[in-house]
Amino acid sequence: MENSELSIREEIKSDIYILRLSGDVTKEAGDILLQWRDWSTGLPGGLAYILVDFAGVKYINSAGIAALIRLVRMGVNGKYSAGCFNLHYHYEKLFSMVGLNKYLHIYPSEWAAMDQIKQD
Amino acid sequence: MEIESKFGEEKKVLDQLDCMLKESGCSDADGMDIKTAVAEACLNAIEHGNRFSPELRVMVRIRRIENTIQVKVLDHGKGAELKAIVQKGPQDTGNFRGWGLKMINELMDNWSYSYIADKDLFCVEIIKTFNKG
Repeated sequence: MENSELSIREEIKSDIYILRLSGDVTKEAGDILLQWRDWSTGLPGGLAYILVDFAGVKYINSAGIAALIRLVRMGVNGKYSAGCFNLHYHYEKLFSMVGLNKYLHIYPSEWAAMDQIKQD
Repeated sequence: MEIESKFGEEKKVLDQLDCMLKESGCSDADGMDIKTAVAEACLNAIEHGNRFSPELRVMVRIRRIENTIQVKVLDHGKGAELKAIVQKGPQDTGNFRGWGLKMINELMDNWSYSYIADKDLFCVEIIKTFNKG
């Protein structure tokens, strides 16, 4: 299990800001994620929803989870809601354990996420 | 085995653990739980025990007896009352850190810690009996 630096690909699809993550979500990755943009000022173009795609993520530790909590909590100031998909069931359990799922809605797939957000 | 006191080194331990868990037929779910708890114990040892000192190593001892995994993680710190920290919960200091102990506490069957005065080492021991799968 080699260390895998986080890479981020951003995309806007149907007025939803999507961050596609690949690599480990750790302390260093958390710093990259938090510096990706000034989250407290909101999403690009004032979008209201961010989805995080964890398909390329194999390892998340507590420091990475802490960074994700910060990112989604900044949504209060930035006026955006957050969700995610392609999350391994183990990390779904950890997110629930630390209460992250209260701020980051976990969807079973990208399609389910897009469909649900459009209906809301 | 021994690892350096820097983040990312815990994955060397996870590699060794992964081989042992696969050989023993441990279920994926229990294997993930064990690896998360061990990673968090190593991260605490690296950060809080050895304070990232390049001269100090974190020592990890892994034992398996039938379906039970026992892991000891030793560092050169003086330790702390970890169960009290778990009870108190992560403090809202703005960075939302401190979830590792909670994960160890919830994912493992048993865990304990002790300061070994004659060796000047702090030891966290975690134990889990796993299901085969």
